[in-house]
Amino acid sequence: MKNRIAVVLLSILCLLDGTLIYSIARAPNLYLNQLVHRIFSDELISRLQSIFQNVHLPGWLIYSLPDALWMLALTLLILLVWNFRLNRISILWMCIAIISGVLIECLQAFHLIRGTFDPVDLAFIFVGAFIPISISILNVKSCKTS
Amino acid sequence: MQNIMKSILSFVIIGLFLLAAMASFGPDDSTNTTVAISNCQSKPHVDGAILVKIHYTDKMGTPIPNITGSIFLTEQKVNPDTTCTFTSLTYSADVATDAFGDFISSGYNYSFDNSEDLWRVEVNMPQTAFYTACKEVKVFKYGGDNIITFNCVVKRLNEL
Repeated sequence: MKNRIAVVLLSILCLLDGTLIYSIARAPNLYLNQLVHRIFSDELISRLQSIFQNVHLPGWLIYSLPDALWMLALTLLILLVWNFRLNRISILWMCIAIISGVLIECLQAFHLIRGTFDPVDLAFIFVGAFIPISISILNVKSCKTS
Repeated sequence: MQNIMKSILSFVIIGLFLLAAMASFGPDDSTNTTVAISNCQSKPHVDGAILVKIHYTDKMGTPIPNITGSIFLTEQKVNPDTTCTFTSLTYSADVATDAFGDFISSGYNYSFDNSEDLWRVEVNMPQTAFYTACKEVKVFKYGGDNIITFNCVVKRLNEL
């Protein structure tokens, strides 16, 4: 039970971190930032921006890390739903989740949806998906051996 | 039965994440660098230079000097075929307002021969110790005004 709460908290933390990066470093006219500005006060956002005003944030952190954090949260939540057990149905849902994330990036390459395809984003998405899946696989292996 | 409930929950979670991904797009049809285009039409060739002007004031209209930041420019050129796809090049430059709160860029040469050839210009002036940030995006298309002016009206932090 404690582990499940920890996974939920970690997922929320990943989601919030990704959103925080958007709020601090991305244009305010993005739908997500408009929503954040509605939920939180302009003063709070300004305070957060002032904390990072003298910090040079690298491009990968601004544009790619949120993708990885959101994919990490998505993968964690899907694994949580399936009790971190890897069977035929859970693997199918994991694949659907990962393909959804990858598809959003790849469709940008063909200008079928807005945005710019960036292979770095794609790499970050795969890393975000790979971390919880590999932990889950290691967990299954250790259970089998013990 | 349990598997059906878990599948429904998985579907809902993925759906919510896709919605969140869509929310990271903007109402100006652009994201970090490019602008969505459609209905591409060939046009007579035109050349010229675009200028980016920034006028930085507080809400009382007082010019604010010595504000530094960046401009990000994307040149989108429609490919010479019928698919309405494009090639893009990006540029950036550091900017600083002068004593009158103004900044004028050097000219960026453009060459248009399609209705959807365009330049996207984003101004990013971070928050300072006294004033809020200014982040705006404008798009210069075929037939548009080649002087892209940003009027940044910012607030004093102590007035928030």
